Amino acid sequence: MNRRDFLKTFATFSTLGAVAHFAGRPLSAWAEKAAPPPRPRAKSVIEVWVWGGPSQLETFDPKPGAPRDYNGGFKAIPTNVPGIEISEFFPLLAQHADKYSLIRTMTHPHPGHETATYLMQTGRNPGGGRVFPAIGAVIAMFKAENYRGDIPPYVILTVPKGRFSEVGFLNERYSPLVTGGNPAAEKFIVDGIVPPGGLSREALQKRFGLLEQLDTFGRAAAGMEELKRFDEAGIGARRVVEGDAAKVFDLALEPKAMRERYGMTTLGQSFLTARRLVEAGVPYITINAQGWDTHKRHFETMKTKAAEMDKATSALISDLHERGLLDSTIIWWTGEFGRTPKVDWDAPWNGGRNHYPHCFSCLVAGGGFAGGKVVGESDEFAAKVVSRPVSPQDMLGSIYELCGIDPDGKLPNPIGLDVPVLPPESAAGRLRELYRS
Amino acid sequence: MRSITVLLPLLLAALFLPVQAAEGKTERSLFEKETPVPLRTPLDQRFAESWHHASLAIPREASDAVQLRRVHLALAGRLPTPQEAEAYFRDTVPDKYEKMVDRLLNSPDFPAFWSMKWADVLRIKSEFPINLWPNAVYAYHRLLYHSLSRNEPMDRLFRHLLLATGSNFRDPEANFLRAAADRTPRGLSRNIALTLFGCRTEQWPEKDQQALEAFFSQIRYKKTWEWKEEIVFVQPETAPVSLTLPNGSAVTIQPGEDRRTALADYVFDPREQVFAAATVNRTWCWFFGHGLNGGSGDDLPRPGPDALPEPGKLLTQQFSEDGYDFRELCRRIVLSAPFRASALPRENLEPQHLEKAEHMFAQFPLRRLDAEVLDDMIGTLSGNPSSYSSVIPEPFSFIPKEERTVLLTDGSISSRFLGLFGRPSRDGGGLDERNNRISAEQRLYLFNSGELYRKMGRIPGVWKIRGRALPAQLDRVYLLFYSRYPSPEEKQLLRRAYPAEGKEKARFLQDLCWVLLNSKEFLYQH
Repeated sequence: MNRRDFLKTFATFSTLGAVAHFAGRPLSAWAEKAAPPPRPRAKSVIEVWVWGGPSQLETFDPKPGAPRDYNGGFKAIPTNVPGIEISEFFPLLAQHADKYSLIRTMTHPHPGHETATYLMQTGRNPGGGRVFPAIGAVIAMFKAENYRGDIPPYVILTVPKGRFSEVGFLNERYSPLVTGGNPAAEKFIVDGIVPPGGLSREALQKRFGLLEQLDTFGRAAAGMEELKRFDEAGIGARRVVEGDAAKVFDLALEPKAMRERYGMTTLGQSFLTARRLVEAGVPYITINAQGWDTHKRHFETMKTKAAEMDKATSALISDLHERGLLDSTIIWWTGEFGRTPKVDWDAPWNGGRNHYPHCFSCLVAGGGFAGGKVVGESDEFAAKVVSRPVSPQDMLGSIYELCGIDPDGKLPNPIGLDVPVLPPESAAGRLRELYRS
Repeated sequence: MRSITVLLPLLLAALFLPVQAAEGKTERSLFEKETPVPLRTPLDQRFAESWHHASLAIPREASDAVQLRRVHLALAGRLPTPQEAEAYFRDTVPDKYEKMVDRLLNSPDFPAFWSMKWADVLRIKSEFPINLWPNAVYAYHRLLYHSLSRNEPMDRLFRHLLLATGSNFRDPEANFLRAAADRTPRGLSRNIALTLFGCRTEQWPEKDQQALEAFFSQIRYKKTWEWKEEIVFVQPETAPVSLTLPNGSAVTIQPGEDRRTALADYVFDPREQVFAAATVNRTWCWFFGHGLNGGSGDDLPRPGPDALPEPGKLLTQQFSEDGYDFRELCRRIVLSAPFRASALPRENLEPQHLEKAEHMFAQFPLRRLDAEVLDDMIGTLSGNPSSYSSVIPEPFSFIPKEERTVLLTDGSISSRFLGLFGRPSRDGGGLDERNNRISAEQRLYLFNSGELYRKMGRIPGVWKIRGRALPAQLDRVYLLFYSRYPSPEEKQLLRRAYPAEGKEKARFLQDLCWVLLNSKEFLYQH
């Protein structure tokens, strides 16, 4: 059986379960056909987590030819790449399709938020008593060696996903800094980094002076390893307080026109902050976009949500491109699943879409991902994968590879587990067709 | 600017150098007595023997102030109030420590704090990956809390948990077998072994794991018409079956019998002391940060006390003879020589000896305080306790502000603070899930967090005394944060640092509170 036959076989399956069924086979059957690892271009990753599950039909896999019960009467629009159409909800992104690619056949079997999020974030099925780290913590760990910034290597704007521990069993050092605050407010207060009001730098330094002098217990118990760790942790923390780390979050340093280009909303300004964090060298940034779990009144919600998202995402891609940073920055945009292709028009849903993991979309750009391409094909309702399924672990594995991390290598961890970074790649494979040469 | 920051402390240090050299002795005397810790009980004798064999000296006894603070944190998970501290220092009766211990053991803070520790082990958590669901969490937690409040014999509660069947809402003990990320017989057997044997069966030979797992092969779960209700039941045997206990002996289960009963008889058998050894080692770990065998407190190689050192064997024997009286176990521990020993390293000890002394409890091990305890301490001091809520659907939970954080029932209800300071996930129930390591992020939070600034803006206990003379103010602040009076040297230093006038003078006490909150003495159990 050659690779083409394999893919044909896969066309008939639409769930991860089916993909995973073959994943247990020895890799040697087709490993010799797999490409060598790509050149690691990506220095930073921006994850746009469209929390709740964005509809594939109203984003990147529109079905203008389907009945209204499926497309809600909404249309597709052309992009600047001939042959690629996206939903009319994203007119600004349509002008930049040459800079990103679309995956229309993301698929896994979990329709619940928690399990689906866990799988999409860790590449592993839940259970077994261990909580694996999310991709952000893994990349933060691998990239930490070459990262010298004062801001932690994994930053989340502005609220955590919650529900499971993103750092899993890795060292706490790689747990995300969750900014809190509101970047669209007068002052973006990142708790712990931006000093709270009323205390001058001099006053703070006086406090530090007194803290050192009064350290009675520390002197009496000098020599204890634990206290040395305490002092070392203090040095790192003081550098953040007294250094320039806070400037990254000072959006007043951006020209007004630039701020407006991203949109003067929490989401828009979070995207702008993400760009500033990339410039500061932070390896992994997550933007948690809320409000996409549109069980009820889906289309009304999409009108406001999509407009804001369209503006912010297109601004981020074009801005990074203009600054020459897109080639070293991966953007991946997706949620834990998509939404049911058939609209539920009845009360209480009034035109709603529910959870749907079997076929949904993902946008990738930069950092070694080619632009202007489409991966996979869905059926006429965006309900089933017709060709080229993409599993969560292959999605994550592709990002790892472009970051110079071997997904099949060992995942170093403090509890001594002998585990690879990811489970074996599925037979359909990582997104090699999107790797730039 | 930067060079001044670096130089300033050096300059100051140079100025104070003559004072400091003389200070060394007084500094130590704040934290330890000059006499060795008394050896009062057979347990103490066993420790003394083990120290002797390891060429370790009998440690000095911790100072009264340290013992007062340490035992409050260890038994009640809170600091003594300034009134409690002053009364204790004034008290001259010889058994004032024992009296304080009994008062704490019988206070409501005891079951509050210890239900938190046991809830970690019992994996009380409503969401992923345990998925007990809120109503079941409350039922389960209440069962535990009441058992600890009434000081029921511990074997009663745990036998109940091991043999439970029924509805997660109506029979709270049934949640013990539901609280598992992996509900296969293998997964259940791992949880049971961790909880009741204090063992990690992953490291056992495969055939021993299979033998244990067979005791759980008949456990089943079914849903009902009530939302999220789940029934735990046992599929009855149809023919006699022979099983092997972890000690190698065979048992035959007759039709109609529950396989778990044979296991329970073994676990709580006073000759085997399986549960007793596990509980003693785990509880010891809660007090000292590592188990009697030097490990994580739940990593005995085999069930029973064999792997424990002599003092552990004795304590296991005593716990079993005391009828699994948990309060009595805690009492024995806090009255023991290791618990009352100084936390300061002996002068001029080599680093490898330092490690050995901590390892063998000849020096009280330093540990950063638990997240929930710190949160409670900050809440009490500031008069602004944290409030918690959960929006996991049905029922929404809003926890009253007055309720202590240690009483949070649900591992899924959390906050940035609790996450940052290493509250355990309760995913697996191992003691190593709690993380008491210090990190730069934690120190950053304590230095500079707006949340903390808002909380600590006006500390009631300090605000009340703002009009008094400086020495009285210093006494008060030190009692609040450190449960001791400041030393003459500290007073002298602070008098010198006290600004003459203006805004800085007005802010001085706030500055001092910030300094004490960020210090090792406040953040550590010592």
